Amino acid sequence: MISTLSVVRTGVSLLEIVVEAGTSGPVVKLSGESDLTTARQLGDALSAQIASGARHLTIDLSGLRFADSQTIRTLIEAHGTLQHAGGTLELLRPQSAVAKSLRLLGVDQVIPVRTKTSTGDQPAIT
Amino acid sequence: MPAARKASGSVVTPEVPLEEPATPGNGAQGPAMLEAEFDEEDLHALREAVLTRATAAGMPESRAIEVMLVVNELASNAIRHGGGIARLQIRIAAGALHCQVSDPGIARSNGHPPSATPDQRPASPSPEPAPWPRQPGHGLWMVQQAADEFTVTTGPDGTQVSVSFTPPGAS
Repeated sequence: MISTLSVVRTGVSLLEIVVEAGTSGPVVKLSGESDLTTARQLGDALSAQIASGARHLTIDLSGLRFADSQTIRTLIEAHGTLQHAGGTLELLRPQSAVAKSLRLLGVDQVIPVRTKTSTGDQPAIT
Repeated sequence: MPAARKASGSVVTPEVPLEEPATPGNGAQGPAMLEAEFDEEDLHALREAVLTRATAAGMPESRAIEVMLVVNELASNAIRHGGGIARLQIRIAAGALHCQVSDPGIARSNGHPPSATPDQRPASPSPEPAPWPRQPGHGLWMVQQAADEFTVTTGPDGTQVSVSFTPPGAS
């Protein structure tokens, strides 16, 4: 029997993006899930930050339940662009599925990942 | 077919095979845990369904998450390259969880058009070019890191990708 997976289609994006000012630059907080349907939304948001002059971006992943490889490639691209411009991109507090995604994709070796937000926080070794 | 065994706890030991659910099947090749068509709007529900089935089959949480990540990757590829609608089937057989994603669209294989006869290529670390680039950060890399077996079949009817997973510690 062929099942239907989704009963309700709300048309609302799975991904919520909120940008706040942080101590060294914008903090882009991602909440919900990021997959094929949200790739452009994320790419556009990061491009907009970079285009408006941000050079030190923090991506807060604490509220993100899921990220696919395309999402993570979008983060890698932004990281590369910022590094090339003498800036930085840092990931903050990835949760279990996202942390595992980063590990499986080998990205935790490429982009700095931080797990604490308090002053005196340590860079993460995940 | 191994007899269904009731798990004695939430920890899966290497000696305990994956549970086969007591659900009625079509009888043709043993019961499928799930068979569903999906498009990109269904990916969220698909991930949940996969995580639920992997957990129900006795996978520990970390492994169930890997199954979900891999199947989402394959499902996304099928939608992107297969015309927007694809099919997922999950079953348990021989102590492993088997997931197959199939799409009816044009198969991308190094830019070549689909072959006239079905071409079954088991994945291997050979120098032969793969359908998708193999590098860190790419979905196929992740599939190969996490899945125990990975097979791609392409033909005029589209592409079927099969992956299987055993619990950690299983031989």
